[in-house]
Amino acid sequence: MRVAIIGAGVIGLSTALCIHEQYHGLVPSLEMEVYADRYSPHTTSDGAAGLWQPYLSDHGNLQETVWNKETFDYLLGHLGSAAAKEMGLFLISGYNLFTQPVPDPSWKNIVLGFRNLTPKELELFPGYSYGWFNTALMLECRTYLPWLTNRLTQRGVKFFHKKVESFQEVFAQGADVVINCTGIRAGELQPDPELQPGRGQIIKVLAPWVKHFIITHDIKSGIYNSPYVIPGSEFTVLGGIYQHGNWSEENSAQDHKTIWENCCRLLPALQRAKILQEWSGLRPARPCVRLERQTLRHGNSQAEVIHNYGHGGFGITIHWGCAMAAARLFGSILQEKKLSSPPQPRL
Amino acid sequence: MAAPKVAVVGAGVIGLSTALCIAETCPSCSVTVLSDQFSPNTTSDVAAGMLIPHIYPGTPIHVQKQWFKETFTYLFAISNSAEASEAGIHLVSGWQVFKNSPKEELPFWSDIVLGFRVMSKAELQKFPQHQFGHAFTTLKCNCPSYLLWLAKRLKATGVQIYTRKVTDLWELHSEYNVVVNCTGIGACQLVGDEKIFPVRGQVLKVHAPWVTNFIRDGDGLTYIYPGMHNVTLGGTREKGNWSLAPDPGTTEDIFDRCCSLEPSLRGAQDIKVKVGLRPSRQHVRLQKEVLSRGGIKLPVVHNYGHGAGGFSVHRGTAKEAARLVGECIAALQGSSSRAKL
Repeated sequence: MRVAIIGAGVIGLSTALCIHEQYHGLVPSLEMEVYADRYSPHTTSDGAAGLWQPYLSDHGNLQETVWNKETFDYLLGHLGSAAAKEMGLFLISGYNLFTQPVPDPSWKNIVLGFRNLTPKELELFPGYSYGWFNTALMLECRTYLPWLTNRLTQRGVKFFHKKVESFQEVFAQGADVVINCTGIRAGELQPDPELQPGRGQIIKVLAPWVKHFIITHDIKSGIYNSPYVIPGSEFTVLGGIYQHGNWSEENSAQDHKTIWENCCRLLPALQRAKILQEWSGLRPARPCVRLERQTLRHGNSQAEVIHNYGHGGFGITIHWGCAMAAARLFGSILQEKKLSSPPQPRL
Repeated sequence: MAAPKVAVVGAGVIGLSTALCIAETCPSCSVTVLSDQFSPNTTSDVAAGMLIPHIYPGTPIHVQKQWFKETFTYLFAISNSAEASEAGIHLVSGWQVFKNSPKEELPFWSDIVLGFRVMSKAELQKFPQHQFGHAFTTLKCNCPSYLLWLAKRLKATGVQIYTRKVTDLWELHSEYNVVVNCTGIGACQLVGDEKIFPVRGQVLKVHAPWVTNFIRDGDGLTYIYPGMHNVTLGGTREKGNWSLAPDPGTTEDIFDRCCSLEPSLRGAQDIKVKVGLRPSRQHVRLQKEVLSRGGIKLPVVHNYGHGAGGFSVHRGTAKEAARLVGECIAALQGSSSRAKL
């Protein structure tokens, strides 16, 4: 049973690990390969600050809320272990700020210590009259992706640096199941007009006195189009850009100005922060995550694809729940091929 | 009296902040700071600089609360300004956890820090050995940065700072009109105060930038305080121990205790060990005294003995000391104008 994963961002690598962990024992013949033209630190995941936080509203995608919770609980369970630091995983507290009262989010009971901000806390943020405080998790992909890669390598999973041009190409090489974790470029393998870039730009700065994340919200301008400050283990990320339909991965001077001015207004101390780097990336935005099986014809037989892409700006937040769901789909494929039943006794 | 001359002895957080308050409230004063030790060699440099008050048994609670409130308000404004990084002041959130529920419901400072509340069950799961906890947000000073910033502010207001070992406050009587004694643990020898004693604290300063929340055991002995450039792991409270030499056995013990609160600290790098002697007293000595020899008088304002709570109340006690200095100067001016008659 040969499984090919296309894509080595947080979705590809975690799905690979989840499937291998769950099925390698049941399917000793399981061979797994990862194909990607970009590996850490050049994936979209690497550009994310790494904060676990879903969007404010689930737009009726209750399934996604469950996957978010599964991811949080999974990560929280790893916090006390020695692996946490090697995974790039740690707790972080912080603020969500609004210009008017808003309903509590679907994830209020998933994070730790969720509460409203007190008037004195709001004094810190002129222009914002309402907000939340909670403790959540950071998962830094520049550390997490290599950790996943190590776990996979230890399990004998092979990695290939190559741009896959079609599913057929991978089937032709002998793959029985393809897991499609190609993020924003999924449309190159199979057209998907619902998948659009949500372009983001960030400035990485040195501001070691910032110990909280601060996410502001402007209901009018939409998610991530309002300044945010997210401190990490080595630098702090300043952001606040979300441009739907913009495919440019070039840094924009105008966006730099927007981010810098807005973040410095939010946190005056940032004026003294040293700028390290600028980065742009394309969030793989979709009305809902595409997580489903698809049976394709390959010559005279059928081949299976499991799609797992379109996680927008919440890939890290939802990744493990999706990996487990993809693993369940893989399990159903095995059932159909009757490969997960115990081996027949030798006669 | 033209330009009253005030000497502040001591250049830790108390000395420098007191000198600044005097310069602010008495612009006509000529203020000089004298000390044999400066940052990074003061007791203040070892401190984590967390704004969590220490309780002085001998001071009324409402006074301690006032000092803490003034200090918190002052630093809160700095943390919210462009100066925050230079002054080394920032907010930090975290938890104080108890193995047994504390006697009093709420500490006196719970309404001064931000967002104070009881920890949820889910939060307590992170601390299996602890039954109860408080969550809140407070301020932290990066002490060496703060002292440097205070010194810079002092020089900008014309305050002179000199290296000098003062062995007797009286030696200053001919050069200064008022002396302010901010010598911390040094007051033991300098003014022969038998009521002050060291409470030795050993701490580790480690590189663990993934630790963003503070964790403190309610017993006060084990704490993890993330700062700008390192995380302070503590600690010890050894009453009467004058040794400034780091103890390796203690280092291991502190590290183990902190790792049991926060296991990820096992990966901490670049561990440095520091020792400070908290200048401890039943109550802060914040009072006037007039030294008198052969008809010559030297007014002294004492401001020392802040123990484990120096950073938490420094601005409040500095303001009170400056007020007392003002009283001394007024008295001197009163008596000098009487002398003219």
